[in-house]
Amino acid sequence: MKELHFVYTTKYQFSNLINSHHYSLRIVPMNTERQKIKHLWTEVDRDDKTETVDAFGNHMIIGSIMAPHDTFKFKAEGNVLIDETAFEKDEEPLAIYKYPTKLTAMDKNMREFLNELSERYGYDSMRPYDVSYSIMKEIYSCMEYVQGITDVLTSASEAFKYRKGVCQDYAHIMLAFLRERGITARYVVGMMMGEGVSHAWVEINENGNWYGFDPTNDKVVDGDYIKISHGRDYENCIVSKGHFLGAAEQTQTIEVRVEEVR
Amino acid sequence: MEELNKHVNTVNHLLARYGVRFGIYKNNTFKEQLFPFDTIPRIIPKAEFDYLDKGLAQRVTALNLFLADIYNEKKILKDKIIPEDFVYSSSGYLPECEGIMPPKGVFSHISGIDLVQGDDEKWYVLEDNLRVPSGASYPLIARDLCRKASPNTFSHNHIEDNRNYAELLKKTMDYVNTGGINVILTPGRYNAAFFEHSYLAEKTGSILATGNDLVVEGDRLYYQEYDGEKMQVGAVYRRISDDYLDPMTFVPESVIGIPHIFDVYKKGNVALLNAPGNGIADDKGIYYFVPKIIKYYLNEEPILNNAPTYLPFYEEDRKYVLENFEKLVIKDVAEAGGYGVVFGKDLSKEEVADFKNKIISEPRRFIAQEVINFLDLDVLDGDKIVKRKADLRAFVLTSDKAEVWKSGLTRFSRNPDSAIVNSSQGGGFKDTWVLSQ
Amino acid sequence: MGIISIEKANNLMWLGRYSERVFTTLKRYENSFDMMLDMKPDFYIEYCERLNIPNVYTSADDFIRKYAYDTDNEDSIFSNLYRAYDNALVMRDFISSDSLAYIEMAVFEMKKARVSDSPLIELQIVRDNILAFWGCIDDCVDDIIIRNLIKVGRRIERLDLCLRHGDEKQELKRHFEQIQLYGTRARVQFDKLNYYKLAYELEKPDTDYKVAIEAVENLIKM
Repeated sequence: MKELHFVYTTKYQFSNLINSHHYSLRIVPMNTERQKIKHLWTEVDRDDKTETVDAFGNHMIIGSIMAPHDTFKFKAEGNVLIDETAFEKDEEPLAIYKYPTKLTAMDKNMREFLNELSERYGYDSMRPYDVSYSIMKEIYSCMEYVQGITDVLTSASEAFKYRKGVCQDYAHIMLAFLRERGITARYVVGMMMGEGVSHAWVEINENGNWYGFDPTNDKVVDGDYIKISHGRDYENCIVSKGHFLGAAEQTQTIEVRVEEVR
Repeated sequence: MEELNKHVNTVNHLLARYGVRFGIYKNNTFKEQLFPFDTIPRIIPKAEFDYLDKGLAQRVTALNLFLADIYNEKKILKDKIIPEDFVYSSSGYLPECEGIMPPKGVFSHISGIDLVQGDDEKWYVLEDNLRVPSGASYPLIARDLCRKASPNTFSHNHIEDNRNYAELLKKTMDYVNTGGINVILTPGRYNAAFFEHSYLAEKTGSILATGNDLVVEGDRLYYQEYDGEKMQVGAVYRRISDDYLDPMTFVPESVIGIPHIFDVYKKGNVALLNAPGNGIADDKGIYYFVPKIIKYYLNEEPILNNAPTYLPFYEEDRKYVLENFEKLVIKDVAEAGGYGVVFGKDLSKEEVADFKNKIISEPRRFIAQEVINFLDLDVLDGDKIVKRKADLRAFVLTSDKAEVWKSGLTRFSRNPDSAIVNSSQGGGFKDTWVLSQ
Repeated sequence: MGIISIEKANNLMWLGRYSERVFTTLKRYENSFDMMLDMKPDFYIEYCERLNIPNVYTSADDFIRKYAYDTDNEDSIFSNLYRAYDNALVMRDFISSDSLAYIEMAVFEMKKARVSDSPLIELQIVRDNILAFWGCIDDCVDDIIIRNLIKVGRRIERLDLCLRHGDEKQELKRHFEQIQLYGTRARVQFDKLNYYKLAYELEKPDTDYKVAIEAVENLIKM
């Protein structure tokens, strides 16, 4: 058992006053067989909020600030216990995790790449876990981690064409390949030790267990990761969604810290 | 009936007076047009309507059970009655609605079922509309005005009064209302069906609201009054599509929706009519399975017929479709409205070959149907009576049970060769009389 | 009923203002029409100055046509009728289809007048329809707030127009009293500063019409 302390802070600065500001936040780590929340503090800078759970089981803090304002902050802090030998259980995972989304759709280029891998390694006779492990390695070695080329709306096929991207793109590409292989797989957002912002990776379901793979770091998910949310792709796991009235530019500052408690 | 035709000008004058219009966009500008009304009604004898009534209620009851099952237990998929591909690859299925059971378990409160009568006088269901079916207001106001213009017609025939639609609709809203006022949510003045939104609000005593009038606060939905008071809303008959309903859950750019309304709905604190996610049940691919859906949930034989439909997904059907391509109509299940509909007989040899290959490589994408020869209806054209194609949209309102409105919207095409009866294509409408004896 | 949002309260008040503007303006237009036939052909220049609308007209004939019917001219009577129509159309559920029908017919008659070479009779019917519209609302609508929001809008517009045409003080005061009465019934909040400014200007002997017009324009802020 490993105990991790985390702090997740986000601050928005708006260039003008805005109003009728509605927000949805997915910032609270999940409670699963693998990960238990020991302590939790959340802080949203206005206190008219409520909580809910979305269709994928993610915890959400939602609320509105109607009065004019030009900053918005929120913070989640706490301690999480990770049992590296346990896995999240789900005997009947949602079938939609088998189907591609717009962001994780295959194209001809990707299909050729995957077919080549499949033939080289004989995916047809391998178990899903091993196929996933192999695909993770291949993505890691053919992709180059570069910021600023892709954005949150970039699809797997676009990022794969450039062979460049960030953790979101790595995860989307991996999901596209896995689902094409008929593997039940989902997108995960969370935090990772040593990473100053939020992170994204992939989970696959085999025999009722969810296993995590991090193609950006070529790593099977271990005790250094805290999971916040999951869904079909990035769109289902957006950390902070907002809708407001007013013409303003926004600047966002995110600070994430995860360290082991000894 | 001839009595009524004598008064055709009076009726149309009254329709203009009451602003019975629909809006269309032409070259990016909004225009309102009068919706041409033909005084010759579609008449459905009592026995025939009794049959339709049973069949429609059965169909809508089953479709409601299907929706509740798909978004919750998914028994019909586990029992392999419908291949799950047809559900999860459809754009009508909304994962956001997973696990939601709406107030009183009703998903499709107001259902518009499109039927045609074949020249063999048999009725066929062409399409189910379980999202935001429109059109009930037209026969409703037309009846009211016809009775004014030609009172004798109605004292000498035994016609079911259809003016209880507002009552039915109000009952439907009240049944699922979670506490608070009833609201009709309109995208606004420049929507094609704005007349209907405002007319139904007037007739049901609901408040006509735009997204700006409504606000979510602490898990509840409120209507904001001009003096600062807030009224809680218990039911929203929303006339905007799922996509635009809530920018926090669906299309973020939506300016006509209400942020967080979906979260309030999910917690059971407001009813949305119809429920989000209904698109999966009126999907073209799912249409094929509706008779099976009826058998599965109700353990009854379907009363109404689908148009004979083939699913190339199944080998046997695929073989039939490829062999009989020229006499079939092929529909792309991903396309909406009249798009992606192809008549086999209209294609050239090369096009047929191309299309057949598409069916072989993507069988899931298409359905094929026998072409139905419509039973044409009489339409007044100046002083003459001509025969035109027409369909019937029947309305089924579901509260504690599914009730069929004893009327419906009969639309006809102006063009003698066209089977397209869409109002934006220059067609008109008729009243639908259901005889009471 | 009695559940009214800010947007709808605004629609009702502006429905009152625009229907009043069409009605009162038509009356004055008919008088001016008569005057310009043979007595004072240039009267339209003065008319525009009084109302503080741009004089885009080349002659009395041009004025008679464009000021009444040109829907591209935003000051025309027809444009204002369309604004009344726009505000009425979104209020069907509050004012009833029967009332709304009279605005529909006013628009219809206005279109007929536009193509007529003797339009005064059709314009009379436009006015009749607006009167019937108001009457129908009084007859069909039970809600005091809805009725009085329209009425307060009408009186504000009436006072505004009378001020612009430089009408007699007594007439002005009469409308101001009605504004107070209907405003209270409709539970609207008057803007305090403008309210007192207006009361003061109407009381004092040398009323500054410009100040009064500005005050009446800003009497209600929603």
